[in-house]
Amino acid sequence: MFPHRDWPEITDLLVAFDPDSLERLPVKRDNVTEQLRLLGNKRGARFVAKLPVDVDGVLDNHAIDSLLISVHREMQILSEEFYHGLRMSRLLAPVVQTVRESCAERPIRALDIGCGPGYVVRWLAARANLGEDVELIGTDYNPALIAEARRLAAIEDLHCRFEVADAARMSHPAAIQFSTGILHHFRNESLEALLRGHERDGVQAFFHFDFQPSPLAPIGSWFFHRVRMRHPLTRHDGCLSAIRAHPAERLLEAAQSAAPGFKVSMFSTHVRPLPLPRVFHVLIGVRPALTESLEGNLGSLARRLEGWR
Amino acid sequence: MIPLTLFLLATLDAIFVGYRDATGRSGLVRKRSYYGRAMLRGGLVGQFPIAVIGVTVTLCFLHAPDFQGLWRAFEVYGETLIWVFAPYAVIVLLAFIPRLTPSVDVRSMTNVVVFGPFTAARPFLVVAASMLAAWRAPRIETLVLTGVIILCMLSLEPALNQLWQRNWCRTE
Repeated sequence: MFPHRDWPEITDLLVAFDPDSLERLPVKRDNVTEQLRLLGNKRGARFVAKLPVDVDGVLDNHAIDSLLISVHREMQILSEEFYHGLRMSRLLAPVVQTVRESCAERPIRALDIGCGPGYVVRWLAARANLGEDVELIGTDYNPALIAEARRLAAIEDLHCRFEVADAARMSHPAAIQFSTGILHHFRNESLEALLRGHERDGVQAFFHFDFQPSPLAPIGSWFFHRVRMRHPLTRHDGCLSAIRAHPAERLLEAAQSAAPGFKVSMFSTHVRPLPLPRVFHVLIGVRPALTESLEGNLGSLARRLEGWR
Repeated sequence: MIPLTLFLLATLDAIFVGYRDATGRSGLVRKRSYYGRAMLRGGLVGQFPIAVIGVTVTLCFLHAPDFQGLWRAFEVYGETLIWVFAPYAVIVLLAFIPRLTPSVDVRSMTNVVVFGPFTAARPFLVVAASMLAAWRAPRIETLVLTGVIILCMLSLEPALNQLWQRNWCRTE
């Protein structure tokens, strides 16, 4: 059966966290398999049914963490081959400069929401040269992924930090908040809830980089994951990501309603001057006073903005 | 000249297989030496299947009732393989040129247009080229060689994967 956009990604079902305490909650394997079966995802249910559990039928945390780390490591192929780090740095640098010109507060904190093992933050720390006054931070709910991010950053001696945290509840919100490939995980009201987090005082700009839906996206995604990925879970969730991606209009509407204190736009949706849609598009928001300055700092890239709302 | 060309093409293929096999196994950012080691490993491990093919060809000659006839058949066989694999290799190598541009779109495009499809096509190409070569030089020896080539070339990636499964390769 062809994946359906209402199917959840399996990796989202294997772990659960208390939204207040961020404590890890037990996940019963039978509940996950039942949920997948009810949605018609029999292959996914069969995969989950083979995962190790304890005597109570709760998924084994250690095994799930190892699985998630290896899946994220494999997913890094996508980030590497589509140059996510470089793409992010080309947008982040002008955003940082805009914030630098308008705000006195130092350091300028740039926060990756849902960073997983932190590839983008680590890439930025290794290669982007954003300036000594910029602090790069990655946050995620999952302590295992954050531990992996810290371990990898330590090996390469990178100046960035990773926290197990809810970005929207951090005591001192970062001036710039961004994400890569997480928006499609947030369905219905949860998308607005995520974007509402940007409304806090101190946040000057945000941008979210995610798959762009198009007629070719599911086929392209399926092909890429089939050819380049090994793990069945990476293939499954990777294909589903492109299918579940939010259209630009949905993202803009959600951002306008959840973060009314920002001017929002889509960025880099097509390979201009061709009508060719890009694999990824970017939802960007800045405080209204900063739009002109950002356009100036973007230089020729400002043409990629689709117009502020 | 034909054996040398085929040897170089097979080694180049093994180097690329080594690179591809290493992707998605290390979470680091700076991976030049990691990928360098992976390509070296691919090239070295790839010498085993090449050796098996070489031994097969030698055994065929040792047991051939007509040396000259077999020599001609293998010449046609080898030429056919070169006609298929050489353009494939040239296109893959040429696809590295656009990657020198600063445009991430152009660089990504080489993955979408060349490296992805060519990776997917590789097993089919190995089978098709070997069978075409056997069809152009039909003999029992070329049929045997076809089976050996398909088996050897397609077993390289699983073999490299086994090295990872046994923790014989270093990630970080």
